[in-house]
Formats: sequence, structure tokens, C-alpha cells
Amino acid sequence: MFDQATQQALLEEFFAENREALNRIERGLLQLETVPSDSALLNAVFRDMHTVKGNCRLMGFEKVEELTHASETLLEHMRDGDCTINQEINSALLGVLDAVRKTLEEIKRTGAEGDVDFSDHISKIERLLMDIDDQMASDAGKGGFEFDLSESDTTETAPSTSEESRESAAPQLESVRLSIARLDILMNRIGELGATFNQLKYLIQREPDQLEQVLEEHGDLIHVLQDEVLKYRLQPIGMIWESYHRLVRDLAVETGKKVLLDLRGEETEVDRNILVSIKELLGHLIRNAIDHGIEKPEDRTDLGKKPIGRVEMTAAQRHGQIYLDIRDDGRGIDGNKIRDKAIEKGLITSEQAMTMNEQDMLNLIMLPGMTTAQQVSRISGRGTGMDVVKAALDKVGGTISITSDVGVGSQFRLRIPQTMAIVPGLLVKNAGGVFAIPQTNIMELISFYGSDVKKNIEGKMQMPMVRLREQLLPLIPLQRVLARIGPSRDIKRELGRIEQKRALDVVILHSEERTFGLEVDGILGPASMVIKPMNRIFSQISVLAGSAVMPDGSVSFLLNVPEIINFID
Amino acid sequence: MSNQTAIIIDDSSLARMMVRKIFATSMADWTLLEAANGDEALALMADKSVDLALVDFNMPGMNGIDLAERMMETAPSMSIHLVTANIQERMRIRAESMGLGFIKKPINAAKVAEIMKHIGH
Repeated sequence: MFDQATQQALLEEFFAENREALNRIERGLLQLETVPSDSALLNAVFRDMHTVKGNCRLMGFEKVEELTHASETLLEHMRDGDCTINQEINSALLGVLDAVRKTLEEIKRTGAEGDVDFSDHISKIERLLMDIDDQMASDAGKGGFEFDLSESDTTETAPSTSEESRESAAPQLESVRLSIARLDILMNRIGELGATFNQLKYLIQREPDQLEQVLEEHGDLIHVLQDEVLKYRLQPIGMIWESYHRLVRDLAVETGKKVLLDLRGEETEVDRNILVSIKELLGHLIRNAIDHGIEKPEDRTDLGKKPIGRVEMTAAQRHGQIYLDIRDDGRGIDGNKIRDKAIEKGLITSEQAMTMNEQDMLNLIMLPGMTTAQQVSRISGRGTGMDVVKAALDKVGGTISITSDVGVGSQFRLRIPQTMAIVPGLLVKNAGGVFAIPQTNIMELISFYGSDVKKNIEGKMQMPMVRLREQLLPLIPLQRVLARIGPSRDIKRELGRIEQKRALDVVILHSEERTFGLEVDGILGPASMVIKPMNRIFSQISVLAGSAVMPDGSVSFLLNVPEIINFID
Repeated sequence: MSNQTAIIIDDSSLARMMVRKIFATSMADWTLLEAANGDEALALMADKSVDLALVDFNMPGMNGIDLAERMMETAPSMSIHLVTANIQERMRIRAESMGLGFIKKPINAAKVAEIMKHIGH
């Protein structure tokens, strides 16, 4: 391939660079014996071993390559934290260094590796690697136990859109690995429950007047057990993200676009049922971002953008809610075009369109029958549009909001409950019905009586406001929210109605950076409720997030606070 | 055909030398720049137009994919190829979605010639 002089020059470089690298590895290994946790040093040692291996491969010295490759693998495990350096490992690696040096000398003299035999070194390393594997396996499953938490009614609680999406749900979501230690905690709880149960049986017959206290204890234990089990249902969202890399790659290749997918917050924990149901819809949003958002590289360059489009998905948890942002730096969504299309398709009237603001227009893409794709492409046109995404979110009690800058990009912000099982809430009365408000949204409760009602109510910006210390907050009647009618336009009459009340009960709520008062007919008290997703019939009523069965057997509904905010705007 | 510029970014001086020799032997009309890491490469490319980049994946500082992303911003039309021995599936997918090419280590004259055919030289 090269003439002799070139070959010689390459060999000289080969020896010089390897000598330096081997010396650095040796120094590093010795230092690591005293500071095993120095990850920068470990990384440098790993990289030097990688260089030596690459050099041997480059020059065709296969035996040394094989030996240094094995060593590199061992160092990789150390770098990844699968094991820490110990004397045995260090001796093996230092032995490798000596052997490599000796062989390099041989090559220098004869030009070839000769009949060196590294099998002793390699088998020693392989044994160490096996030990690491064993250690990892036993760590992972320390007396592990497959504990299947899938419910018999998964089909109802996991609103997967199709059979297909159920199949594509990561198989690891179907079961949860539980350590014996955690199972023991569960067993202890059940033991305590058994004890209070026996106490109850005894008291019923002998001392019924002491029943109440033990019953309460029994109830508390059930709650603790519930919390414990719920915790096991939480899984890191990263589990469903792995497949998106592949999705993005396939889309990029198919569309001739260049895309960088950036995923952040993969450690965020979400109930596994919710994970199963959002996997598909997140994929759909990513598909949309690439298909409709990101422009072709040459178009992006013409626009003065970076040729690689960026799709960013972040997950974060706040107050029992998961916030997912899917952001792209593509062409954005033109609200006016969406509006025109909706009119053209007869989904809204021109009169309705007149009063729409930017946000309303963007929200139109979630109407059934709106397909924003100019042509249905093979990848994104799977017969699902944004309406399906919205419906799937509704079922898990989530919301979506869209912001977009034409030419700059779009952002889809999803809010979903971390778990849909148990919500601590406040029960309020309204027009004969009982409704629950999630505790996380409640800031405080205020009640005014008699003449105080009038003193603390004011009309401002065409809206009744309630006074909270120095502040005036918008006051929204729950009655109008439930009836799905907007705020009253007749402010005088509305104020008159409130002022006539003998008592005014207001729940001060906070959500999505807004604070407001919710006028209710009465405040009943706190309750922890097992929330079920809304029945399909009611799923389009977005102000209701779910339902719960009350102690007396009646059903009450959980209010979806972020949706109520729409009444202010 | 002349006035083409390529850059090799690899922390191994032997690997750089190998590419230098390949270019000297079979692509003498090319100018070859050399950098040992990402920062050096970006500094070198700041005032030059480069047509082809051969990028090692495993380097100190930024890795090959991060570097490729930065290079694409400054020189969108450049043909970029990652030179790797073994790469995680996830990295490979990420590189492919960015439109990067791949050369399996070790690099040699035949592999460079293959790339040249593809980029039309």
C-alpha cells in the first residue's frame, strides 16, 4: 500500500505514540489504586488503552489488538461503575502492559508479532469480566421476584388507542422487578393490617365503644399500603424513550432531513399504566415535529437556520404532575392557516373564527377531522391526528397546550398526572352534586358571611373579583364551569347575584402560574380518593379529570383545575 | 479537482499520520488539515472551507458526534464521516439521523477511496 519509507515512518509513530500511552496507563493505574473514584483519570486510562488498541488494528498487529481490546472492555466496566479497581484487576492490567511492551520490542526488532501467546492474560481478564457479570446479575436480581402489578381491567384504565399500541408497549412495562426487601415491607404492612383486623373483631364483641380509634388506625394502614404499592408502579419515563431514537433516525432517512433528538429528564417517574398509554402519543408528536415541523437541510440553510433540525423532549415532575415538553425548531404552525382550513372543512363558522385569538386557532388542530399534513405521508399518516392525541391525554386526565412561532418552531406542553390512582382532594358541594378538587391546586379556603360578602367582592375588567388580603383575584362560579357556559357578560347582574348570598365559599386555586377563586355552594372536607379515568361518554368534558366512588356509594367527579383557567381568558 | 480540503480529527497521532500518508499517496491534490480534538478542529476550520471531514468518535473533550453537530452549523455542505471501531447502536442511530457517514476502523486507502466515489470526486 505504501512505499517502504512511508511504512517505516508509520511504524515509528506507532511505537512513539504507544510508548507514551502505555506509560500514561501505567501511571494512571497506580494512581487509581489510591483514588479509585477518580472518574476523569479512569476515563483517560480507558481512552489511552483505546488508542493503543486502535493503533495495533491500524498496523495489523492482531494479537496485541486482541489483548488490548479485552483490557479496554475491562476498563469500560470500571468506567461505567460496574466494578471498582482492586488489586487483582490492577495486577492483571499491569501484566498486560508488560506483555504489550515486550511484544512491541519484538515488533521493533523483527517487524512482526512473532508467535507470542497472550492466552494466559486474556483468560485472566475474561475471568474478571465473568465475575463482574455475576456480580451485576446478582445485584439486579438479589433474590429478585417478578411481581406482576398489571390489573385485570387494564383495557379500561390503560387507554391505548389500538391493539397495535398495546403490542408495542415495552414488554418491561408489563412487569415490575421488586427486591425481597421491598416485598418484606409489604408483608410487614399486611401483618400490621392483620393485627388491627383481629383487634377490630375482638372489639366488636367486647368493647364496641373503642372501635372508632382502631378503625381509624386500620384505615391509616390501608393508606400506607396503598402508597407503598403505588410507588412500585412508578417507572422512569426513559424506559419508553429508547425507541424514539430509532423512530427519528428512520424519519430522517425517509424525509432526507437531518434531525437531532435531545431527550432530557429520563429519570422522571410515571405510573406504568400512564407510560403505556402515552408512549404512542409522544411518538406521534415527535413524528409530527419532524414530518411537518423540521425543514429540509437546504431550506433551513436558506432560512439562516442550522441545517440540523432539533427536536427536544423534556420530562419533569412537579406536585404530582408530569410536564412533558416537545419542542422543535422547525417552521412552526400558522394559526391563520389552521383557522382557514377549519372554516373550509366546515368545522367552525366564519363568525366563530372572528373572535379567535392565536391560542384558539392553534387549538383547532386538535379538532377531529383536521389533518394538518398537506399530504398524508407514509410515516406520519397512520390515520391518527392530533384529535387522537388529545383524546388519549384526556383519558389519563392530562392536558395539552400548543405554542408556536411561525418560522421559529413549535412547542407542545403536556401535563399528565404522575399516577392516576390516588388523589388527596377537597370535597365541595355545588347545586346538589359533590365535586373533588385536587389538594395540590388548593392554596386556601375563604368564607364570607353577611355584609362581608359585599365588602369583599368587586367588579373589574368585566369580571367579578374576590379580595384576598391585598389582592384581587378573578372569581369563577363553579356553576358556570359545570354548565360549560363562559363568564357572564352582565357584570352588574353577576355581582348582584353574589352579593345577595348570605354566605360565600371560595376555594383559592393555583395552577399554570395563575391564581383565582372558585365560587362553590359549600365546602365539605378533605378526602383521599381512588380516581378512575372518566367514562368514555364524558371524556370530552375537559373540566372533569376523573371520577371516584364516595363512601356512601355515590359518584363524585374530580375537577381538572388547569381547564377551569380557560374561563378567565 | 484541486483546491479541495479535508480534515482528520483523531487523538491518535498514528491515525492522523496514516490518513496523511493516504492522502499524500492517492489524493495529492487535496489539502489535509489535522486536529487532535474537537476544539482544535473548530479553531482550524474557523477561517477555512472544508469539504470532507473524517472524525474519530472516541476523543478527549467532545466526542465525534458532538463535534459533527458543531461542524455542521459552520459548514453545512461538508461531508462528515465518523471513524469508529465499535459504536453503540444508539450512537449509530443518532449519527445516521444527522446524516453522517461511517467508516469502520481501521481506516485505509480503499475506504477513503470509497468515500471519494460517493461524494463525487
